Amino acid sequence: MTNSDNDPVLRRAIDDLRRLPPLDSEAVRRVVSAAAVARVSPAEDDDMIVARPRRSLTVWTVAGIAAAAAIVGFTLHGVWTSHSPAPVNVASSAPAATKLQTVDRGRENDALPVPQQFVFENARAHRVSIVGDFNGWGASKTPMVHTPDGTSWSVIVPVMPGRHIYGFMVDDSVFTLDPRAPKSRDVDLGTEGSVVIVGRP
Amino acid sequence: MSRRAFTAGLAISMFAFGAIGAQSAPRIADPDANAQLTSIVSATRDAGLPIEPILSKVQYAIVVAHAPGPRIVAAARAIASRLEIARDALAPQPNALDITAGADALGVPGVEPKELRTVRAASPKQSVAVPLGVLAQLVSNGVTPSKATASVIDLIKRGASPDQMVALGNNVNSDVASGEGATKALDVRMRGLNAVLAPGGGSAAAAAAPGLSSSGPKKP
Repeated sequence: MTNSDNDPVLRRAIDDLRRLPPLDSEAVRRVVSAAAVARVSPAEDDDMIVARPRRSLTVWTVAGIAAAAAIVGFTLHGVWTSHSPAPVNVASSAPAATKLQTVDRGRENDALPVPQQFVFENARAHRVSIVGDFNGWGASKTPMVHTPDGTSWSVIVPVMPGRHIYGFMVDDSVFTLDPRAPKSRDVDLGTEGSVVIVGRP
Repeated sequence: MSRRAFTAGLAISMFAFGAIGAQSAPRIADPDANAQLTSIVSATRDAGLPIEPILSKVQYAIVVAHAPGPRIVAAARAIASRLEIARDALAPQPNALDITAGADALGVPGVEPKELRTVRAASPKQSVAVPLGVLAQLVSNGVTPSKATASVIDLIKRGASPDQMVALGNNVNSDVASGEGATKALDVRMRGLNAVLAPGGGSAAAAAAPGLSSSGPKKP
């Protein structure tokens, strides 16, 4: 309870102050007339017209970008998901074979790629890439990295379990077999490729 | 203006989609061969078969074999046929990996659909990509298809892991590269595996057993 509730004089004064004065109809008419004369200018109307398309433009742009991202994303998903981190196998070509693998079996795991390391000894090459059925024989898809001692080239590629044919593309033009791996002759084209069999423990 | 922005975004996405798709669909200079390849790939896709082996073969023919158009078409047609045969042999529900492995195995002279059916019968619920790969490589090394199939089936039935099978295949490769006969090499390596595989199931010790690591063939 406040002082104004207890004091009748104070409460009467507050009530008087709260009471609105009677409306002056003439004053209302003058305000309405002035507002009608000074209503929104054409320039301001133009701004309002432009403002809507700006909002629309943003929506369409966002929709376009979202559609682009969705399509590219779905497309790339299959490519990039194959690069899941996992233990690494060293291909038969590796001079020093080290292998780390997890233990998992079953059909679902068999459908996952196994990182496989390939090593190629060639100190004179300027560029070496690995080509095989696991990367669609794309000559520029999987470049190999020069080892620090400058004598070899190395790369780790996710490879599905099974038997694969591959080789090395030296200086973008010379297809070379892996000297440390077995060879297989292509039954359809008569050419040879190196063989690697990839498994999972 | 607003629709142009949307169209531009869509065009960019379609360009990206097309560019990525183009990477897996190599084209050759011969227009007739291109048309035939397109037809083969479409028919294979429509049949529910994986088309990657065909695309890969075409790219291989271009990049490595430098084959002429008609030869590339013939190769693509041959692998499409093998994919279909492999799917039928690996029925009822082979996955793309199995079909691809089956087609690859059928590309090794001597491997027939009956070998695929036998392997599938021994492993109806597991992927057979690795067993088929090992089978193909054993036959490629000179082991008879029947002996190679029997060995792979024996390993499957005794619960050998895919890695143990890979070790077998790689070690036989190594032995053959060293000058040993393929059949003898397989016998020796199988005896090594038998020593570590339990009669009714596999043993992790096999992978670690001497001479059974899957590190691959050693240079003689």
